[in-house]
Amino acid sequence: MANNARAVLEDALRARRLDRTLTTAQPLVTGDAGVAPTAVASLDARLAGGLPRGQLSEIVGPRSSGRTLLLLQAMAAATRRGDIVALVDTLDRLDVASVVSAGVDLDRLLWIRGDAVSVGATHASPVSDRVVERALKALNLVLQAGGFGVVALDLADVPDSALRRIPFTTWPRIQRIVEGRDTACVLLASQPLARSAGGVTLMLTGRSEWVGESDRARRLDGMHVEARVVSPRRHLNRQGIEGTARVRCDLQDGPR
Amino acid sequence: MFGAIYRTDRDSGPSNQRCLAGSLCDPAEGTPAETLAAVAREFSPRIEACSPREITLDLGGLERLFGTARAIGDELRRTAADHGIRARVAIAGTRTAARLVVRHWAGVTVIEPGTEAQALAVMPIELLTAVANPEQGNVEPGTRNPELLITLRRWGLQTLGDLAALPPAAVAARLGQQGVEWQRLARGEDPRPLLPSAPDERFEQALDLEWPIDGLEPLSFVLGRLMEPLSAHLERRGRGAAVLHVRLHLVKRDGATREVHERSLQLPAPMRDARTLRTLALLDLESHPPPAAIDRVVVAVDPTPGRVLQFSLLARPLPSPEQLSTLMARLTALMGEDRCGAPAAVDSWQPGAFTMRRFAPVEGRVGQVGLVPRRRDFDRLKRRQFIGRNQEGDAAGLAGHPLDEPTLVERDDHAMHRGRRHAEERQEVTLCRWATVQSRVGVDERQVLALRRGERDRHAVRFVIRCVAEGPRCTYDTASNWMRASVSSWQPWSPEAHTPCGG
Repeated sequence: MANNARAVLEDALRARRLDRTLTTAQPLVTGDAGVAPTAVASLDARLAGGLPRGQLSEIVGPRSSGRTLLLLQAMAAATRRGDIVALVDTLDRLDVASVVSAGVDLDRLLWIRGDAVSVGATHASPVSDRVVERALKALNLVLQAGGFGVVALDLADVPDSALRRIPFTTWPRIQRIVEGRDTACVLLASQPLARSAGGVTLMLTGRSEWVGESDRARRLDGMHVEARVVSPRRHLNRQGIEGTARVRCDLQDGPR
Repeated sequence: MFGAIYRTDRDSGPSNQRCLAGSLCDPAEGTPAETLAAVAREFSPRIEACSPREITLDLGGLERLFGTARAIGDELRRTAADHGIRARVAIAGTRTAARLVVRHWAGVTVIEPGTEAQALAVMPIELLTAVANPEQGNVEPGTRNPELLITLRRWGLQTLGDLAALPPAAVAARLGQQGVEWQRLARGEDPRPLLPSAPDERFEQALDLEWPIDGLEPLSFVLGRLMEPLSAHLERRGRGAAVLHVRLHLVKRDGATREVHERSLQLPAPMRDARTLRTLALLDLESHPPPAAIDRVVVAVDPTPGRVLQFSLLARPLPSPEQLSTLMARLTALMGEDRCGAPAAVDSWQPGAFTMRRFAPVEGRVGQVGLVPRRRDFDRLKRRQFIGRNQEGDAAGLAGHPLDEPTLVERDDHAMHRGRRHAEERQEVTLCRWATVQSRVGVDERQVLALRRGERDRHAVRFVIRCVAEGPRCTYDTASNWMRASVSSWQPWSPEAHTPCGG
């Protein structure tokens, strides 16, 4: 009975050309051709090579959890392979010095800067809505142009109220654009938004590590980033649908 | 049968020095060299510009139109005079003979084919200096005496006939290949055939509209209609567009005056795809719309040799320049000017300093990162030496640490304007950092004095460095973002206005 209902549902989805939303219809991503490695060994091992190409993935987590760091590492790895990458910076928050420190080839990075709205001002809905709308349009243009290895949309500091006003059909549409391409589309946000059937969601939690006992001489030694992989595709983690990878980021040497 | 025209009137300006003889242009508007070329093209399509003053042309077959060679020469000279050019004309069986004769005799000179050597025999040997070297074609005879000419004079040779009479084997043995070539020139023999100068084609399309159009949507159809033949023309010639010019003739409300709204697009790579060119033009016009209705549209391109593409089987292909240009134009129209591109780090102490460059990735070049800003090194220095070594919570480990220029960064706007600074006075600089440490460093006489804790900031960590400058002799150069010594004027800057950042 259940199998029959499932078959009917799948047939209905296929009839409406929505069969890609079925997790069973997703191709098995293996090898380097279908993934964009993040250059973080433990995470790549958990992700079966890296972020899947042709899918919409997410890197989510609270502030200072290492979202931008992980994204820049993936972009640096992509530029080292010869790919070009694009970042739609919704609120113009990118620090170029950090990009250089991550090892990203700046000549291969297309940086699309949104309006530099302060954190307090983003709560004003007309401003943030317009900013988010323009960022989504820019992402749409970049994905349709094609040829990029990694394309990221940074919605990290956008308030939740503005994110909730984004129509949910936005993400299937973006997923539809990126399907079949060699682009790994990455969404940077504070909470899961797209929940793509083919992509992965990396939920990060960061913890700063300090050295020194004295309060006056304590120094920041690095960050301990814990990534939880959430994916509907079980082959990414045969023990369950969630897995963790620990990334320790040192201020001097970057993540390892 | 070949002819040579030599312009004898003086150049009136530096623009006349340009050698544009191969271009086809309006004689009434061009330089004398262009006018001379236009005169020559009225008689033959096979012309070769030897210098801005001299043009040789193939006159074969013109006898049926003008009659004898003398009549052709007279007509050539008369046409040149009609265009305001005083010129000599020579006609001979070879180009070399015509060129030598036109430089020696005024008026119209005709040398019967087969008698070139006899006619040239009496001419001075110095004429060869202008004819032998193409790059010295505009040099007057005798103004430059190459070594070969000096040698020939030392031998007692005065005329071309003297040189032509020498045995070729002996000339080759003593003077080498150049001597043999000069002897052939002295006999009036051509070293090479005439190389016709192709006229520059104008890649331009225009359309007069019966009714003025207003808005970009109808204009897109007009542009598409103009771009198609233009693209086909470029493809036939193997050319691409380097610059796209769009000229829109506007209709004023009073109907009396006309304005031209002109836009020029520098294309990142030679391209000739009609849809891409139309899209780029439309996106540019969206940002810079014409102020009135349009009744005439002119599209022109500056041609350049087309691209030859060789794709790699091993590397992932980058987007084509057409795709990138279209993407960047769309993004610029959406996000605004200078909001899209490739970032570039700036060698500066200014926090968060960067510039935007055009996004133009190069195929095959992998692994080169951008300029690492020295601010990063400076921050690392602070972490390691100012804070990292100071495990005791005191500034003892920092005392005596030198702050060499340009490590010494400072600002004090009030003190700058007061202009009275002493070595004991302290200045502050605030550098925003993404880390979450905050410290206060005091320095005196360019050495670190004390390290004090500062208050915390919610989003960015700030290093507050109190340092001592050299007084008004030291300034901050806003052009290079560096501290400069021995500059009298202070230029204030505000690091708070450039707060970087993020989390």
